Amino acid sequence: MTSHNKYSEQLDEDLVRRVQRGDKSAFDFLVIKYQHKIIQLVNRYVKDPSEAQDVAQEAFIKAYRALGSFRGEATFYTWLYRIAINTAKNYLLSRARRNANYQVDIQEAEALENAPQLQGLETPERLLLNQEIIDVINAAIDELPEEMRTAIILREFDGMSYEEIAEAMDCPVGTVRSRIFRAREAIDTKLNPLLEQGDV
Amino acid sequence: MNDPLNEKISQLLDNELDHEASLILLKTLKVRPELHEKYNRYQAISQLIKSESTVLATADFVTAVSKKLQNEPFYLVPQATVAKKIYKQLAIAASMVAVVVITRYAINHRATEELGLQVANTQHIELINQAAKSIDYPLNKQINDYLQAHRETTFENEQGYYPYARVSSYGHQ
Repeated sequence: MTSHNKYSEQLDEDLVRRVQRGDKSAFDFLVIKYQHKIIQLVNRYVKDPSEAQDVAQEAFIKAYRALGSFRGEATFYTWLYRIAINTAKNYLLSRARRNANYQVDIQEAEALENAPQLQGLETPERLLLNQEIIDVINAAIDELPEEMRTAIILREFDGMSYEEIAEAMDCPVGTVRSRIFRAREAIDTKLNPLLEQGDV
Repeated sequence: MNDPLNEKISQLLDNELDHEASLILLKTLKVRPELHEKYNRYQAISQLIKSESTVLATADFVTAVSKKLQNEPFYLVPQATVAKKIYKQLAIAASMVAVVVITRYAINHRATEELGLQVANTQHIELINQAAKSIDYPLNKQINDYLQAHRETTFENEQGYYPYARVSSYGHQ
C-alpha cells in the first residue's frame, strides 16, 4: 500500500468508526469525500446527470443503513462502490418496469465504463459544452509552465504519488505539492466560468 | 486569500494529506460552501483531464443526504475492537510463552537424554570392565592356585615340603 492510499484508508476507517459509535455527522465527511466518484460511477449506468444525483444519494443512504454490519474486510470505498453499482442496477430495472418500452441494458452500461466519452445523455448542447470544456482544459494545460505541466500530468495520467513525482522530477515533495496545486488553480481559473454555465 | 486551504484541498484530493489535517479540512469544507465548491471543481478538473467527461455534484448534495439521514437511527455498535485487540495480544503472548516453554523443555529433555546416554555409556564400560575382571579373576585364581600348588609341591629345601608363604619368606630371608 502506498502512503497516499494509506492516509485515505486510515481516514475512512476513523470516520466509519465514528459513525458506528453514534456520530452521524461523521458520515457527512464520507459523503463529501466520495460524492464526486459515486456520482460519476452511477452516471455511467443511468446516463442522466440529474438522475445520477438522486441515485447516488440513495446509494449513500443505503450505505449508511448497512454501515452497522461493515467490518472492514474490504476498504470503505470498495464497499461503497459495490453498493452504488447495485443501487444503479436496481434503479435501471425499476425504470424498465415502469416503462416497458425503455430499453435497459446493464451489460451495455458496464461495457461503457471504459468508454467515458460516450457517457451521459449527450444532447447537442451538452456535447458542445463538453467539447468547449475539453478545449479550455487542453489550452490551459498547454499554457502551464513546463514543470507544472509535467507534475499535473504525472499525477493525473500516471496516478503517481507526490513522492514518486518528486523522485522523477528530482525535486522536493513540497515543490511537487505546490506545482500540482498551482496547475489546478490555473486550470480552475479558466474553467470556472464555463462550469458555472450549467452541469457538465 | 485561501491559498493555503486550497493547497490542502488539492492534497486531500490526491490522498496526500495526513489523517488529522484531512479531518480538520473536511470539517472546514462542511461549513464553508465556497471551499466545498472548490473541492468539487478540483475533482471535476481531475476527472476531465482523465476522461474528458464529468458530472458535477449539486451544491446541496451533502445537505440532501444529511436531511434524508435525519430519521435514520444512530449506530451504537459495541466497539469490541479494543477488547479483541487485547485478546489477540494476549493470545499471541500466550502462544509465544508456550513455544518458549516447549522449546526449552525439548532442549532440556534432549540434554538429559544425551547425559543419560553418556552415563549409560560410562556404566556400560564399567560393567564390561567388571565382567572382564570377573572373567579374568577365576582364571587368574586358577593360575595362581596352580602355580602356588606346584611351587609348593615342587619347591624343596632341606626341611622338606613347605607351604608357599613360608617358602617365600624363606627365600626372602
